[in-house]
Amino acid sequence: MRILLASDPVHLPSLVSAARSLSPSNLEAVSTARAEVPVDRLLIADVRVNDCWVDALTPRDFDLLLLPPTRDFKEVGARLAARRGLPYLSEALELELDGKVEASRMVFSGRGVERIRTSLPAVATLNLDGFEPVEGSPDSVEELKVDCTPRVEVIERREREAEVDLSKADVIVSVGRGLKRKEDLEMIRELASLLGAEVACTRPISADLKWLPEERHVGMTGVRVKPKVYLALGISGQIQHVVGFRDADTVIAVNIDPDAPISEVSDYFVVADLYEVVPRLIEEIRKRKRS
Amino acid sequence: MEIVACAKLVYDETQIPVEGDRLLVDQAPVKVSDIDRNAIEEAVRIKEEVGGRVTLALVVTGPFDEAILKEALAMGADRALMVQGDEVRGHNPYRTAQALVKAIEREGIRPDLVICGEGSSDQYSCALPAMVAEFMSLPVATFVGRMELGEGKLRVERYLEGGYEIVEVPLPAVISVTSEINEPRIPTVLQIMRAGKRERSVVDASQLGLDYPEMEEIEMKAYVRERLRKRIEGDVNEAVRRIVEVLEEKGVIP
Repeated sequence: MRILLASDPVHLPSLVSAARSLSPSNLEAVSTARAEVPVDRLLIADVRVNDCWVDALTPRDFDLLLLPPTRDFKEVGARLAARRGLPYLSEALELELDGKVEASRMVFSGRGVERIRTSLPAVATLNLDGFEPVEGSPDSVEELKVDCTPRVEVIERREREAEVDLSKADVIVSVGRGLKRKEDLEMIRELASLLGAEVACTRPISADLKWLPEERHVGMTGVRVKPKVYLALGISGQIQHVVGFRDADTVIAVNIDPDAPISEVSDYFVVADLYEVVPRLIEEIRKRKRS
Repeated sequence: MEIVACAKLVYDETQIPVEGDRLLVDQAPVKVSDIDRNAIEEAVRIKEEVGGRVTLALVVTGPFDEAILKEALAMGADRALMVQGDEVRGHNPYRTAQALVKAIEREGIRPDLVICGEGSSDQYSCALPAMVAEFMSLPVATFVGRMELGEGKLRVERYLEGGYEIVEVPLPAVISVTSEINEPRIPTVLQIMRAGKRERSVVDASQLGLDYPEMEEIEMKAYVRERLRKRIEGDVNEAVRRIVEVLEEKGVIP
């Protein structure tokens, strides 16, 4: 079983860890920079655009090609599979090999899980949750020459100043449309700081109203989180949002609407106005901290 | 400008009943996959700006619903190309992309621009736009949250996890859009009535001579995460005390 990995250096250690759990006979990785990972061969390729990633991987030999589940690599994986006539699995979970490949996928915005079986060779982007990054030394390191004329031209790249990685937060205070004004985020921030929590939101708050940055949007097209406690304030519970916090240990929801769908997916559902609950909660916690 | 907006008619995931660990998928109504509505909107906006024609290429994965098709067409598409049949059911983006491309070719459409949603509401594998581009040998920009039409090219902003990327793509090209790109219009009743008369072709995918790697669905289960579902109603002060108790229990506050 020859597994090939293609990754940026940041995701590579977790990807190697996932690949090693499949006991490959040969493990090769293509990366844009050197990384200290235990693989048989590490190939360093100077690729800057998806077009060249696809060209770099097209001639390579493998039984299984694994990629991180980022937007760029989802494009690269799908294009390579189409070009080579191979099956492609997107954001695969619980991948298993037995001459064929089997993996689970989240479907219908997380309401279902499907198990898919397909032949090898195959291409997959892999959900890396739960794979601890591994360190080690590659047996050999080589440079990979890539002959590529990209068809798209990158004019500019701008990194967003990342404030936070919500997927690592222990406690999250999240707001939805029940929050009426941007200024009211102040009391939410105050509550979060008392709880040592991060502030998160539903899609309308970040994408439509732009009150909070995209990296704080929890949901299907945002971040998936797994805190100990998820406090959902003024969130109705649309499934595109719910899928983002479904792995939280405990969910406490506050909503004024007794029939809000979030009542079905929370451990504690408080039927109340968040504007009455939050100030009292702040006061109560302060009182306890003082005593 | 010859524009193709790709869309998928899917079961509405918000309305699928659950029985134990079973999803009763075929009891749900169908809808146009959410982000595909942004793709249709963007196609219509470009046509309104520079002229041309918009073909709505609709993959029908389950039952067909005439009212939904009319509503999508009424957003401003000139014609519909429907691809249906067992071959486009279930999960196989390779097969779906190939069916779409072959259907477009068979209709004699040579698009300047193909616009798709970033991913579908049922599968969200985000693979189709990339695969369509490969099968058509066209350049592609995925996850586009803003775009601007220039002379023979597009300037787009790709929305990525760690920031964004501004890219120029020569036309013809394939673009996948994110939901940030626009606000899809809601057609009026009159527009919907008129849309019923628009030209349409129906293609059965079994007639297209598809050749694809098989993907077998061996299991489909509802994802059920058990929650306590305790309801706290009545006095707000009492409710706050209960929340504090839970936070204490979980070790969030001392």
